[in-house]
Amino acid sequence: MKTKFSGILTLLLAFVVQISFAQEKTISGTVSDESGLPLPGTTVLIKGTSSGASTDFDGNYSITANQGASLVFSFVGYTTQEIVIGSSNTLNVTMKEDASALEEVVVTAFGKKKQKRALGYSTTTVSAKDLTQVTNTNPFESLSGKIAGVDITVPAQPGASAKVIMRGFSSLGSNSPLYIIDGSPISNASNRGSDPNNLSTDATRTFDAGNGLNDIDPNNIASITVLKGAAAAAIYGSRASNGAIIITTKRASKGQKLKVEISSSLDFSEVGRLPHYQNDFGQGWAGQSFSRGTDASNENGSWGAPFDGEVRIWGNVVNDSQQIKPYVAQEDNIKDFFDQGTNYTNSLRLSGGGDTTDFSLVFTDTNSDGVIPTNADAFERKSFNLSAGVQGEKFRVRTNANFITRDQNIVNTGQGDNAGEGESLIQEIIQTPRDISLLDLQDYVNDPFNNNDNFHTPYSRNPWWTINENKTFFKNNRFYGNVNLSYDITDDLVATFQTGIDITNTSINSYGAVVTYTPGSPNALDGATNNAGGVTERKNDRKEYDTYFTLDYNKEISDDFSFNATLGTAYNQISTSFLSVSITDLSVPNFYELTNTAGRQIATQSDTKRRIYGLFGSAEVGYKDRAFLTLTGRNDWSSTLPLDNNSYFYPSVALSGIVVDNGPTYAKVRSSFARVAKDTNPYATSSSLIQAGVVFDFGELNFPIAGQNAFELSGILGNPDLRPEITKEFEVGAEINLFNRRVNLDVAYYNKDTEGVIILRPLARSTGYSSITGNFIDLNNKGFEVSLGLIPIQTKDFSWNIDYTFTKNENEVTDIAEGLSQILINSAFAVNFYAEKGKPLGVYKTRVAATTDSGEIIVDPTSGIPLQVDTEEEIGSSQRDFVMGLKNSFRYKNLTLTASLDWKEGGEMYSYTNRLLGFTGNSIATTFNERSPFIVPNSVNDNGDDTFSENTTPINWDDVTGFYSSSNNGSIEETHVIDKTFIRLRDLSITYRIPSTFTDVIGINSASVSLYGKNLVLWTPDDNPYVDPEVSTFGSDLQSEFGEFAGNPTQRTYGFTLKASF
Amino acid sequence: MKKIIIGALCMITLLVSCESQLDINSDPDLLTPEDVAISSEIAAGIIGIAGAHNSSISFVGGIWSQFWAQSLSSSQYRSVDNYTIGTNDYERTWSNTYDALSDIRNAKKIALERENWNYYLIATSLEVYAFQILTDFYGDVPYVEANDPTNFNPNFNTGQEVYDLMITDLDDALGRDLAASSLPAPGGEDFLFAGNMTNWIEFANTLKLKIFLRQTEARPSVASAGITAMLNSNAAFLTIDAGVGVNGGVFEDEASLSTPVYEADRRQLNTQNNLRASTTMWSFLLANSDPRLDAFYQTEATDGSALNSLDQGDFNSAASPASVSLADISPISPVFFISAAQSYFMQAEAMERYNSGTGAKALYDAGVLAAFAKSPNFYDDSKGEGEQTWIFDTSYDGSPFVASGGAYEYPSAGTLEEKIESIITQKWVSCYPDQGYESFFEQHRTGYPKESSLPQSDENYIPGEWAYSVEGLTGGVFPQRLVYPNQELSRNSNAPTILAITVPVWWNN
Repeated sequence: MKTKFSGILTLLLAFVVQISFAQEKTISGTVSDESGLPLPGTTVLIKGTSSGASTDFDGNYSITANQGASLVFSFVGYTTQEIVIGSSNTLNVTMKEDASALEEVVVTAFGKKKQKRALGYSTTTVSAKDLTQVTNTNPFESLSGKIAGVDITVPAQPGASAKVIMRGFSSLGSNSPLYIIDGSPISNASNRGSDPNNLSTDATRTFDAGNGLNDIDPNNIASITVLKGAAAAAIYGSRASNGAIIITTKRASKGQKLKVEISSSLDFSEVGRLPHYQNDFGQGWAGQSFSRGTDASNENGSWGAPFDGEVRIWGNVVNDSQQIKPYVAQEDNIKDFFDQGTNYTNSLRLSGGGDTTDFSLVFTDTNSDGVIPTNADAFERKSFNLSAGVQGEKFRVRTNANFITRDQNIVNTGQGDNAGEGESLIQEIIQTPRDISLLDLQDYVNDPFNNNDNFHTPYSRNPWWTINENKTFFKNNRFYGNVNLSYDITDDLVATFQTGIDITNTSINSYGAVVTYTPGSPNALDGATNNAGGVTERKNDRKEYDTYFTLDYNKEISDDFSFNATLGTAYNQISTSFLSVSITDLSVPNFYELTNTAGRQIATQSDTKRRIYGLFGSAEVGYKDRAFLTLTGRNDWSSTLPLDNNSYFYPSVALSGIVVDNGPTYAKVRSSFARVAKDTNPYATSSSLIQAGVVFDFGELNFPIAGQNAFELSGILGNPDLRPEITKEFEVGAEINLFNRRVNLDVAYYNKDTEGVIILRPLARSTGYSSITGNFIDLNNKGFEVSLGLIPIQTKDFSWNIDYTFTKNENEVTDIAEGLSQILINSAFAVNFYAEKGKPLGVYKTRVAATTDSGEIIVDPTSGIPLQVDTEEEIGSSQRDFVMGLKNSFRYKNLTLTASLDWKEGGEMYSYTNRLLGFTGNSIATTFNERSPFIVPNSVNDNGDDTFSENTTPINWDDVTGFYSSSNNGSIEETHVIDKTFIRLRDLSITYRIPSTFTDVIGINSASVSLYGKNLVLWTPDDNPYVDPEVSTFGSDLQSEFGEFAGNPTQRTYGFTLKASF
Repeated sequence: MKKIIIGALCMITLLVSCESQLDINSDPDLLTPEDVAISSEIAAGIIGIAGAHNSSISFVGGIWSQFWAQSLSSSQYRSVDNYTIGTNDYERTWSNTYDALSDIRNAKKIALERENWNYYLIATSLEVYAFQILTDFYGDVPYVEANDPTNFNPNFNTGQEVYDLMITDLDDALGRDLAASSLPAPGGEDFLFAGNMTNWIEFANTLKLKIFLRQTEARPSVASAGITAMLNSNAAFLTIDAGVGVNGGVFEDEASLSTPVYEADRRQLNTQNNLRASTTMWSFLLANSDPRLDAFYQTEATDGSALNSLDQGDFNSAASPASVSLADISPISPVFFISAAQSYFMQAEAMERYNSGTGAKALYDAGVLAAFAKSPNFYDDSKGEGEQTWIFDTSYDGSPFVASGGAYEYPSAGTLEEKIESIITQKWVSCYPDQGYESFFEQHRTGYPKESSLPQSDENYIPGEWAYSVEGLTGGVFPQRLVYPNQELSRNSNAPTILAITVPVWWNN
C-alpha cells in the first residue's frame, strides 16, 4: 500500500519504451492536492509500462496513451491513484494525502511546497484530522506535547490565550512565533486587561481575552507546519526570529463536485482543578471563632476553633435575628459554586470546482459558556472563510478572505480595585471560610444576611455580588485575507505577487458597581471599604499590510542536478490606534456611562506605525535527489531602528543528505546554520515629553491640577544607538524511518545564541530615568527534541499508533550590560522574577529566612519568628526540565480510540492563590501541628557575638495565624513559589465512522460520530495542591512564566461530535 | 544608494507609497524634549516632590514618628511598624524624587543658560529641598553625577558631601541678581508661592537653616558658623506655610486629584482602616487636653461610643477593631514642604543655640500658634468615610496653651536642653499628618520626644514618649534609616553595600 518512491520512478523514466497502439491520444490535466494546491513533480505512469511523465511547476502534465489504459499517479506523501482513461482528453486528479506519510511534503516559506527530504532543518506538520479530533475553539488547544521543540500552553478556559514558545525564550519582549496563514502574516497580539501596548506585570484587576490565534477556526485548517529553527524561518525576516507557524487553509480541488460537509458538536464542562482545602477549622482569626465579644466571627478566614459539629450562630445580627448552622466543614462549598459549562460548535463547509475554478466556503459558529455561574464567561465566535481560485493558461488568481466576530464576557482576575471597577471573583472566593456554603449566599437581593451591609465579613465581598455586578465585555471584529496572482513567464520561471491585510477592531467595555455601606450597618461599623464604581471603554484598532513579490525558478539541470531559486521583495506595515477612556466615582449607581462622574474622564491614547522593507533570495541545489544544499539571504530595512543604521542582512545555509533509502529503511541527516536579525518596537530611538503626574504605591496624582497643565520628561530614555538583535542558530538532526515506516524517528539538537537582545533596560533611578530600550543582554538556548512514531500493529482491521515527543531546552542569560546585575521581569508582593547573568531566564528571589552557616533558621528571640536576610536570595527558576507528550491511537475497523498524555516536568511558579489560602487559613499547609504552638524547626537565636543558641520561643497560640501572613512573618513568601510540574490526560476520544454500506443508503458520502473528553485528569506534585499550573494571569509571554495571581480555574470537558459530508 | 534600493522595492511592490519611507519613527502623540517650557518642568517638579514624599515616606514617617499604629484588622504597613521594611519597600520615594529632579535640574540648566535667575533660585531650592530628605533617609546618595542621561552608573556622594554641596548650590542661587533676571517671570505654575520671589528667598534661607541645624551634633562648628553668619546678615525666614495647597483649592476629593496620602491610603487601597491612632501621640494630646486630638483622629464612633488608641506596633492585639480610633486623613489637606511652624521652631532653636536665646520665646510661641492653625479638622466624626464633605476649617487657637500656665508654655527659665525639648516636641506635633519623616529625623538628632523605657501598656508609661514597637523585630533598636532600594542596588554598579535599618545616619551621633 505504500507509495513507491518517486526517485526510482524518475530513474525509470530514463528508459522510456514507446509502445504504440491504434487509439493513442494525448491526455492532459492538472494534479493537485486536496486543498487545491498544484503538485509539481507528480509521476504519471501508464500502467504496465515504463512510459510516463511528470507534472510541471503548476501541476500540469501531458501524456500520450490509449483509451482504456490506466494511468498511475504517484507522489510522495499521497496515496497512489489509478485511473482508467475514458473518452475525455482532460484528466484532472486530486491526490489524497496519505496520513502516515503526510510529513513527506512540507509547506515552507512563502507557501512553497517542498519535499521534506530536501530540508536541512526541523519541521513538524499537523494535519486537519489531528486538530479536529476533539472539538477545540483554539487550534492550539490540544497540541501541547504533540510537537517536539515547542512548549504550548493553553489553559482549559473559554477563550484563554495560547502560549506557543519554540526552542525556549529568546527575548524579554515578544517570544511569539510568526503566524502565517496562506502566505500572509496575521497578528497574534494579546488582549489583556492592562494596556495591550505595554508589557505589564500588573497584578491588579486584569483579564485574558485571548490573543490573535483565538480568531482562527480550527475547522478551516488543512494543515499547520511548524518551522522551528532560525534557518527555516530566516527568509521571512525579522519577525520570524522566534520561529514560524505556517497555516494552510482548506481549498477545493479542480473539478470537484459540490460537496457539503457539516460538523456539529456539543460538550459539557465541569470545574477542573480547585485548591485542596483544609476541613478541620472554621471561620475565625487567631484561634478565636468570635470577633466582637462573644458573638460570631466576622473574619474572612478559617482561623477559628476546630470543627465540633455543634449548632452555632454565625454572621451578623440583622433586624435582631441571626443565622444558625452546625459548625462543620462544607467540603465542597467552593466546587458547588461553579456550574456546568456548555459549548456548541457548528461548522458548515461548501466546496466545489470546475476546470479552472474552485471555491471553498466555511462558516463556523462557536457558542460556549464556561463553568463560572451566570453568563460571565460566555464566549461566542462566528467565523466565515472564503477561499477561491481561478486559473488561466498562464495566469492564476487566488483569494482568501476571513471574517471573524467574537464576543466574550470576561471574569477578571488578580487584585480587586475598590477605587475603580471592584473586586475580582477568585480573590473573594478564596476568602470564604470553610464552614460557609457559597451557594447559600447567592441571593443578596432578598436575603438581608447576604447583602453588602450584612455580609458575614467586612473584609471581603460576596462573590455573587462580584460576579453579577462587575462585568467586562470584549468584542472583536476581524478581517484578514489576501490576493495572490501568479504568472508563468516560462515553464521554469514563475512570478508571484501577493498582498494581504489583517484588520482587527477591538472594543472593551468594563464596569464595576458602586458599594456604599448604610451607616450603622454591621459592616459599616467594622470599617468596610466603599467601592467608588467605575467604567472603562476601550478601542484598539490594528491594521497590517503585507505584500511580497517573488520570482521562482525551477530546473532539472541534468539527471544528477536539480536547481531551484527564489528572488523576492517584501513590504510590511503595521499601524495601531488605541484609545481608552475611564471614569471612577460614579454619581448614579448602576448607570455605566462615561458621563456618570463628577470627576475626570481619564483618556489614554496611543498611535503607532512601523514599516519594514525586505529583499531576499534563496537557492537550492539537489544532487541525485540525495543531497541538498540550500542558501538564503535577506536584507531588511526597518523604520524602528535609527535612520542611519536601519539596514541589516542575514543569511542561512542548510544541508541535507539521504544516507539510506531502500524502501523499508530511510535515513537522512541534516544540518543548518542561520543568522537572523530582529528590529524593535516603534519610537524607542528618541526621548519624549509626557503629561506630568506622579505614581504612588497605590494611586496617582495627575495634571491638570488646579487649572495648571504640565509636561515632564518621560522616564523612558530614547536610544539613538539601537542595533538589531542578532540570533545565530546551529542545528543538526536526523530522520530515520525503519520497517516500512513502522518506526519513525526525528531528532534535533540546536544551539541558539541571541546577542544584543533588545530590552527595556531598567535604569538606576538616580539617573532620573526609569528605562532605555537597547541591546543590553545576551541569551543562549540549547536543547534537543525527539519525536518518535511507532506502529506496533497494523492490520486491515486493527492498528495501533504511538506518537511520542520529548523536548528539553536549557536557557541561560549569558551576558548583561555593565552595571546591571539583574532585570526584573515580573513580581508580586515580595517575590521578584529576574533575568540574571549565568542563570536561566526567570529566577525567583525573595528575602528568605536568615540562616546560620550550618543552615539553622535564625529567629527573633521574643516572637520566635524567623528573621529575614536584608537582600533577596534566589529560590528557584521557572525553567522546565523537560516536556513530553505521548499519544496512543487504536483503530479497530471503523472505531478509533485516541488518548494523549502531556507531561511537563520541573520549573517553578508563583501562586498568589497559595498565598491567600495561607493567609486565610484555608490551605492544608496551615494545619501544621494542628495549629498548636510550635517552635520553628531547627531554629536558633543570634547571641550577637557570632554564636547562636537553640531557640526555645514557640510561635504562640494567637500568633500561629500571623505565621502564615507575610506581614508578620516576611520569609513565608518563599513558600509561595511552588513546583509547576504536571502530568495531564489532555484528551481522549472515540470515533466511529459509519460504514459506507449504511451512508450510501441515505445518500451521505461519509459520516462519523465521536465522543471526547478534554483535560480529564491532572496530576501535580505535593508542592502544588493549589492551582492548575497552566493558568497564568500575566498574559502569554515571558511575564506569564512568573505564575498566577488569583487565576480562574480550568475546566474538564466531555462532549460528542457528528460529522457528515454530502 | 539606500534610497535607490528602497525606491526600487517600492516600485516592485507597487501598492506602497514611497513618500515618507522609513522616517516615521517619532511618536505622533507626544511632544519632543525640545518643546519643553521651564514653567512646565517646575510645575511637574513641585508636584513630583509632593508625590514623592506625601504618598510614601509620609506613611513611614508617620508610623515611625508614632502618629499612627498599624491597624489590628489589616496589614498594609505592618512591615513599617515592625521595622522590617527592606530593599523592595517604599522605593517610590527614591524613584519619584529622582524623577522630579530630572525636570527640576533640566529647568535649572535652562534657567542658567538663559540667565533667568528667578527660576534658577526656584529650581535650586526645590533641588536642595528634595535632596536633603533623601540623604537624611539614606545617607550617601548620588548628587553630583545624578540625573545625567549619559551616565547609567552615577557615583554616590557621602552624606557630608551632599550637605556641603547643598549649601554651595543654595548660596550660588541666592547670590544671583534676581532683579536682573530674564523673563518669563514665574507665575501660577509655582504651586508654593505663585511667583513671589521674596517668599522663595525666605524658603531658600529657611532651607539653609534646616541644613545647618541638622548638623548640630555631628558637625557643631559647621552648624554654628553657618547659622551665625545667617543671623548676622539678617537673613529672612519663612513666616508662611510653604507647600502645595496650603490655602486650599489645589487638591479635590476626586480620584488622581486628591492629596497623595489620602489617595494612596484611603482611595486606592482595598482597606481604608490601616492607620490607627498611636497611643504615643494620642496620649500626649489627651494628657494636655489638646483639641488637635479631634483633628488628628476619630475620637468617637459614628454611634457616639468612645474610641481608644492602639499601642505602637500592637497589630496583633485582640481588641475589637471597631473600638480603635482611625486616623483622620483628608483628600484636600495640603502637602507641606516647610510649614511656618517648622520655620519658627527652627529659628527658636537657632536663637537658643547661637544667639543667647534672643527672641526665642516669641518664635516658639509663634510656632505653636502656627502649628495649631495648620491642623484644620477636615473630618466630621459623626459621618462615615463616604459621607464626609471635607471642610477646610482652620479654627484651632493655640494661644491658651502658650500663655503663662498653659500646657505648652515655653520654659524660659529652663536649661537649654529643656528648651530644645519643648521646641522639638512641639515640632513633632506640628509635623502631623504628612511630615512625620521630619520629626523622625529630629528625634534622632535631638532625642526628643524621649524614648520610653516602659511598654505603653504599663500604667507608668509617660504620655508622648516613643515606645519600641510591640511587634518590633530589630531587638529593641528603633529604625534609623531606609535601606537602599533594590532597583538602585541592582542597576547601578557604583551603588554601595546596604546598611541595616538600625545603622544611624551620619549626622546622628
